[in-house]
Amino acid sequence: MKKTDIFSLALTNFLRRKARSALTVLGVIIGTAAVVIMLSIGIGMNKGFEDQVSSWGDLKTIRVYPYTGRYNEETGQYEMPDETEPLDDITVQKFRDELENVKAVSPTDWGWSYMIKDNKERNDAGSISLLDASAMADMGYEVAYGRLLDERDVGTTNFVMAYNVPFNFYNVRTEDPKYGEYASADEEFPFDPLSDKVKYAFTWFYGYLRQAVDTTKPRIVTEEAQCVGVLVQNETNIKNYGYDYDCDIYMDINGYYDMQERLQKNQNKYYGNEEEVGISIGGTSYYVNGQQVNFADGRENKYNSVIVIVDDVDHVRDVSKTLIDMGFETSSAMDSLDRMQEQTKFLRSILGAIGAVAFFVAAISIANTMVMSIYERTREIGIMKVIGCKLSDIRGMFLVEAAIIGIVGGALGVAFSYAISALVNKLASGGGMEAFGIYSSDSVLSIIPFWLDIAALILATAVGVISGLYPAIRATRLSALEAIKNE
Amino acid sequence: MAAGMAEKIAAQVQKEPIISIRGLTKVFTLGKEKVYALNGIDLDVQENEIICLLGTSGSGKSTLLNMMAGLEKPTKGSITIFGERIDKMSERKLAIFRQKNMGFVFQAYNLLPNLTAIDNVSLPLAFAGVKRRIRVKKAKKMLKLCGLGKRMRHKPTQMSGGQQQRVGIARAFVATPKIVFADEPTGNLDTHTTIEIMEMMVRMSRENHQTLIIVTHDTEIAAYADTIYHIIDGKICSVEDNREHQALPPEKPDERLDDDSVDENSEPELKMPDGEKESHPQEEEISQILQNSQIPNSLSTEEEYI
Repeated sequence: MKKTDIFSLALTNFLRRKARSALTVLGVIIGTAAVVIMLSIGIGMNKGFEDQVSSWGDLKTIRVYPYTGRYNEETGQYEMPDETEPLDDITVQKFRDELENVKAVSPTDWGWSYMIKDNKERNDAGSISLLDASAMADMGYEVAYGRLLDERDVGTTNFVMAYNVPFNFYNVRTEDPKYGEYASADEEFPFDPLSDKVKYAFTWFYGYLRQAVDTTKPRIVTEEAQCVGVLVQNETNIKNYGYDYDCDIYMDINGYYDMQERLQKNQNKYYGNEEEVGISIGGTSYYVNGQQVNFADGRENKYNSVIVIVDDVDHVRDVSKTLIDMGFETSSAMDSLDRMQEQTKFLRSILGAIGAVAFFVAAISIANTMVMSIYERTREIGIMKVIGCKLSDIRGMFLVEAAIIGIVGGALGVAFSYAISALVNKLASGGGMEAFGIYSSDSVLSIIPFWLDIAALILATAVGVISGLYPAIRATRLSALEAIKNE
Repeated sequence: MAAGMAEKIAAQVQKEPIISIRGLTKVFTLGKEKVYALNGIDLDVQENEIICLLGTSGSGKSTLLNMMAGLEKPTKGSITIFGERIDKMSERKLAIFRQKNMGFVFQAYNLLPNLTAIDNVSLPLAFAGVKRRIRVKKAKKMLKLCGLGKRMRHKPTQMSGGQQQRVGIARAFVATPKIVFADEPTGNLDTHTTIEIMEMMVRMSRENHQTLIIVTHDTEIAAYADTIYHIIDGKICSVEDNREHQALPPEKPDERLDDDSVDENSEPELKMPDGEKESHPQEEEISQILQNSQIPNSLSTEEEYI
């Protein structure tokens, strides 16, 4: 028998019992839609976590710290290494030389200094993000004006500032202090931030320009510095909140440390060491249970942390592992993401199970329909056998009919699940996302990727064929004689 | 004419039988009792022979036919058709064997209810993998030969019993099988239709040199056969050579079933016996029956059933 004939006979039978075929197909539609929706919610949740975590920081970024020991879970004791690798220029160079799939390596730290403009305006909001000037371009920063820091700026106090910074200067005599003014998208600057006429300076002294200076002591030292560029506004933040909240100044880490040293000398010499005004110069010593951690080869821990930016999200776990094997502590947004996804794994597997049950019911319904169909068609099958229909053709007819139910149900089910998905997302947008622990404004609860459509269609067809297998074999085993006996 | 026919038949008798049954026994066990449905049947069927298995209900005639068709396995004995042991064949092989060599006409017609007459008739060809265009052509030709030129797109429920059985005959003969089995082919039909159907079957099998095996309890039906086997209690109790008294339909040597040139618009071309009546004594009886019952003397008569 030709394949087209088997197909057309199967199709005739499918269309013959319209109500029953429709009900069976409906079962498959619901089963398919249930699986697709449940999986799409799982996918949506993962994506939501990803969005949320990447809003905290780039998923490709790994922060490296010195290893200072770990609790041994068996003994309950904190085990401290005899000596540990410090974060210094040797280590940074080692990372650059040895790590694979890495885009940028930079020591990093936070600095703080009051910023003075033209010796009459202050900006108190600017914390200073410290990095290796030569690595800034590789770290993914982009400028709206001027240029990024590069090799030329290593060891200097040249800086780049966030788009908001120029909006935060205020005149001490005429205006109230400003704290975190955010520019709207592409808002025009109040002055040209890169102009030669604008003079920037940093100081350690909180009262600078603001309160009377003790004239018995020498003048407070300020450090002049040059701005070389202004960063672009963060598009995601602009989209979500209407503004970008970055108010930082970006400076070469070594240039900053040198500047701080000079400012500290001035402070110590004339005003006593006022710790609370916070002049800090990199490098941290680590104490565990009152015991200082020793660094390898008597080296010093120059940097607080080192940032490693990986070229692809998929490599983050590998690079993290390599760093741990090298003797360091790491932390990345990926860790948080893994933790969150681990915590909701149970919820997602329950969703998947609900879908699977629905699909299983659909499969049983297909099998039931096909068995019923055989009982009804016992005589027909007998006639076909007697007049010479091959057993394989009879089996084929029933399998094709079951497959038609699967394909039609699967296709309609996928279409139906798009409608449900839209509905779910509409309902979830009113606070439903938070119920799942997702706090990301532009995430949706249900996401149906294209592969899920295809997979659902294949699954539905496969379930149709598998459910049809038993009835089809049963049909071939019917006794032709019994079937055609005159009644 | 009669002498020439006798020579032909005599020549065939010399040949190897196409169906050869030896010691065929079928035992059913009912509780502790053994029932012999068939008890040591020996039977040879020649090519182009029309035989009739005549017997009452429960005589075992239908069981014998079912075994010849490979639908039932014997308890003992052998059935050899075209040199092959039917009783030893797997179901898979039997299906193909039936597809190639056998046609069936049933008492209850056994048409597929959701297929049109054309699709029903072309079903055996579809099973054999014949292309749709060709098998529809053959089916149409067959239906016209059976006088159903205007009923081709009807479904079985839209046809009378006689029309349905004509579709059944068209289906049995369409693939020109060597052997056609007919199990009480007219059991559900009135006398007039019975005659139409029987003559149609006999003529078709004659024209195509096919072997026709009829199972019936009706002696009038048996009269169409060359050889009549009387079956009582699972045994052949007598064999009757019926060639002398046979109800023979006219020959139509110019019409061949495997001729593909079909004119779709042509009317059914079945001819009724008229010119050659004298040479067949039994036909006179039949035409008398026809006249007495005042039924129109035409096969293409069509009553409307909806």
